[in-house]
Amino acid sequence: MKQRALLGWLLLAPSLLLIGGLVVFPIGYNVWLSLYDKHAFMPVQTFVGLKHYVYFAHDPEFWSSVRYGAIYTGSTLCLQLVLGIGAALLLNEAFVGRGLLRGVVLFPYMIPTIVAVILWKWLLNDSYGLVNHLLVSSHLARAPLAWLGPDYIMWSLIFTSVWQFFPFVVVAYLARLQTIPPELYEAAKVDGAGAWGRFVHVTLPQTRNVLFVIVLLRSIFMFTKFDTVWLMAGEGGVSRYIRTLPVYAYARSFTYLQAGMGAALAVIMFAMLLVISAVYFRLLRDEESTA
Amino acid sequence: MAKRRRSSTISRRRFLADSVTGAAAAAVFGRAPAVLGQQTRELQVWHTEVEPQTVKTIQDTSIAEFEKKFPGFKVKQQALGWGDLNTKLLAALAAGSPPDLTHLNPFMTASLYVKGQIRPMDELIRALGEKDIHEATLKLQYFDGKYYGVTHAMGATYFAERRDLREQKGLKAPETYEDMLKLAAALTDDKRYAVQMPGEKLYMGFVHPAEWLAGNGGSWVDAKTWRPQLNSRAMLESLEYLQKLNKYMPQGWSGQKYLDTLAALSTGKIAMAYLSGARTIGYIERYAPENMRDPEHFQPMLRPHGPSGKVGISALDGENWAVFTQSKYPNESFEFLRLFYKKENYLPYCHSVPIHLSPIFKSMLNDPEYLANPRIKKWKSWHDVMIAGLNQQRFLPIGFSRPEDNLLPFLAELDGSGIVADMVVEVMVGGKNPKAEADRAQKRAEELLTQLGHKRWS
Amino acid sequence: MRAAPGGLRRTGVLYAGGLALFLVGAFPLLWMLSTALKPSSEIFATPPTLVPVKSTLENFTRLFAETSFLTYFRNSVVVSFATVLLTLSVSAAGAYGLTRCAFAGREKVAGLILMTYMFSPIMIIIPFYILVKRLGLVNTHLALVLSYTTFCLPFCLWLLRSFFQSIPLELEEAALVDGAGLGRAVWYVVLPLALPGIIAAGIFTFILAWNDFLFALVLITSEELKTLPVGVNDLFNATIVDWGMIMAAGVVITVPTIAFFVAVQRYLIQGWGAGGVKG
Repeated sequence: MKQRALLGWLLLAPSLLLIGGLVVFPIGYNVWLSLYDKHAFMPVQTFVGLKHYVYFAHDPEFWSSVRYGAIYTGSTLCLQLVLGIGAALLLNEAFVGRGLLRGVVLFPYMIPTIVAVILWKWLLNDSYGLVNHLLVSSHLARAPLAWLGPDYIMWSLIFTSVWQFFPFVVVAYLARLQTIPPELYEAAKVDGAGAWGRFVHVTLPQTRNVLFVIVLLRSIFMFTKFDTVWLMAGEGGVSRYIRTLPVYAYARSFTYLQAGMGAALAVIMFAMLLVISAVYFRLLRDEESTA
Repeated sequence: MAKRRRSSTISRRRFLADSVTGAAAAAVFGRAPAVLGQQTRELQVWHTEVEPQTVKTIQDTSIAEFEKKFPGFKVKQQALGWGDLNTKLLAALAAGSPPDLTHLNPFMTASLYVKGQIRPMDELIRALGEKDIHEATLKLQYFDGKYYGVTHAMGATYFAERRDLREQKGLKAPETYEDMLKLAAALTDDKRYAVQMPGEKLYMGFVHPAEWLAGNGGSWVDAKTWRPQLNSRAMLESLEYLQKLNKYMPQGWSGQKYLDTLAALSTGKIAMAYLSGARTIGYIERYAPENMRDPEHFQPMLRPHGPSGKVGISALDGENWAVFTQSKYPNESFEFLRLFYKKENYLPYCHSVPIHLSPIFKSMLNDPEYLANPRIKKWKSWHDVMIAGLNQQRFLPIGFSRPEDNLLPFLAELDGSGIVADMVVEVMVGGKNPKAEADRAQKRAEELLTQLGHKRWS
Repeated sequence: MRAAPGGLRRTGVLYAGGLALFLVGAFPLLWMLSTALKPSSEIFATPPTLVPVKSTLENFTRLFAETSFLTYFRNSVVVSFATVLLTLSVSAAGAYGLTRCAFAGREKVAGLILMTYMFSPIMIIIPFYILVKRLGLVNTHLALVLSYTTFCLPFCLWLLRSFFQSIPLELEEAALVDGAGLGRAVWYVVLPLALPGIIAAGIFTFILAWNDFLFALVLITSEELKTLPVGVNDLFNATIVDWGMIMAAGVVITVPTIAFFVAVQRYLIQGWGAGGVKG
């Protein structure tokens, strides 16, 4: 079947060409650049080997970004899962208006990040924002809270990100839910399982694979998320409280103007994701294949 | 039924595909000239005045005249916010193709000069009239005996206050930190805060610290050794003052932007905007209560000085034009600038955002035709405060702690690192100990300058 | 539609949950619409009002009269549709190759594709710009289309591959036996069955292309070629931040995406289910 194999490569060629040219080259460029000292204004660079990597190993700002990145990724992932799965379960049931609701629930994912951020910054504004107004007038809070101030900015950011991206989880999970044969649930009910029992013993095992993919993809996307974080508070006074790794990498390249160091941070991020994904695959793939 | 649906699906898809192909082809090939190479040559001009009327004025005056004079050329102007311009500029420099002509912040120009990236423009300066250009901006880009930049327009910044409220309390304009704290205490009540600072890294971490240092006898770095002075007495006294001032600012100020403070001032939520340029007038005219849209209610104030300083310093906003070494059409860029500064073109340019864009020429600042602009006439006191301040040398360009800071090649990096902004927010909002935070910032700054290769101290 | 099985409590929970979900999804956008319809004087009013006391279309008229928003809109439409077309063609071909054709290294390729997402796009922008400059494509819509296609390709390949995998080979072979060439077999048999997956991939691609900001900012320098997100950002950077106009811009940007989605949403969920990830 060599002809078939050749056809396969031919069909794949445009994809590989585009990905190779427009993604692999930039990645390679960053790996190369991370071994050099380069000022962002200058087209020249000097070789320094692994100096940047050694520097970051001892840089308190680096570790602080890792911490913020972990908090951000972990929290948004968990909340997206909880909200997304919950919504999907709900939308799997039959009720009037379900079609409309299925459409509405996807709205947050559709709008550009900049619009979403502007919108939430407007709602959370401590002088004119609706959220504070509602909290105060319903006596849930005594005074307007500074949602965009240092104490709460990370939570506001997490909240905005979860709002923006949980529909992704809904779509993926709901699609799978719809193909679970109802007989499995009937059988479980006959065995005496309640709603929670049915979820744990039927739904979860059946959706294990799609969950695997969702967690993997959402983790990667949230870990490398730049625009939501940056637009929310990147240039603000509170930026230090949400300085995740992608933001720190951007800062090193574009505002500290140390392009080599920024590239090193990008490579470090990439390596972290690679390692974590490999571990994730190793741990969970075995279980998946037996499902 | 499945079969019918499939065929209708296919024909629908085919229709969609065809129409999309058509659109795509039109899009791609409509742009073909840009890909294949055009007859006309393009002069790339980037600047930071994003107001639609300014963009239009430039198009209708300078660009129109230039294109008539140089028929083979088209001028492509791009108006960008400073952050966006910075991002694009870095990408362009990395690719070796910067724009022909651009705005730069004075604190960046030295850095670019030291790396040989910009061209001298002595001829242009002489053509414009060295003696007529205001001293406050003339020598900002004067390196090693040559001029490397010319300011596009000046805009003073200061406090904007509710003068009626202050006069109600019978207090005079504050001249020292102590005066300011007393005034702030008097103006804060349960309906309003006294003052609000912009919660943006650029201002709280660079523009204002430069003002504090300048107004309290300090400076960014030691003049000879370039060692940072972030934990100097000048800075520590300022930090202590600011920690106290924070009480009189809205709780969430660090999460709000510069323009939010102007809106807050106009709608009465605060009594003073810490940072205010003539943009404030636009906000007042739009958002303040109708009976208050005048200088009797809103007035500018110059900055107070600290205990170790003699006179308060405010920032003077004014990006400078620069032509890159790698610019494709340097001669045409200089020609463009000549036309830009011609009175028939420059006057409407300055009038497009009155007072915010004040001319750099002393002759024009006193020119009756210039002063006849209705908004300048109405808000004349704002214009006068700026002139007085310039004469008394109460202004320094944005980010400068001393006039000689124009020669420091690392201010852009210091600003971009956010080291000082982190320190300020931890002290003011986090309530941390000023000395500890200042020491930490000092260490980070020394490390940064060393990494950049500017360490001259031991 | 199955009848909702018994219990008033269950129905109550369902509707409460449904209402909450509706508010989460729609309320912020309704607020955006509400602000867009308010005159300047009412925007900063405290207490804020949901339904404008005095509603007006002036923000929208100002948006179209004073800015080049119509141009941006047209550009976004052109770029997004071109991207969807290119991405779907290339990824369908590639996914088909990955699924149906056995060749060495096939599995590795799939893994490699995922890896391309592990690099933060912000770090790609500068080398990308250099590459685009070398190709002479700076300031063209083609550059945008190529970059968006490239970012969507890995995900679309992955998605379509799982769809193609679930379509039985027998169907295709039957068409081939009937005398159809491979091309017709694919076009008339495989693709319609994979249509839901194709639509899902199309929606994902459209959203990414419609909403991208960073690449449009760096790669486009002419006012006539700008896309909507860059246009909104310009409004945000303007001297006077006109909240009414910004919210109007937000509405203008969001409506087509939602309309596009509502038109095809049946296929999306149905398709995800039918093709679905194997398991």
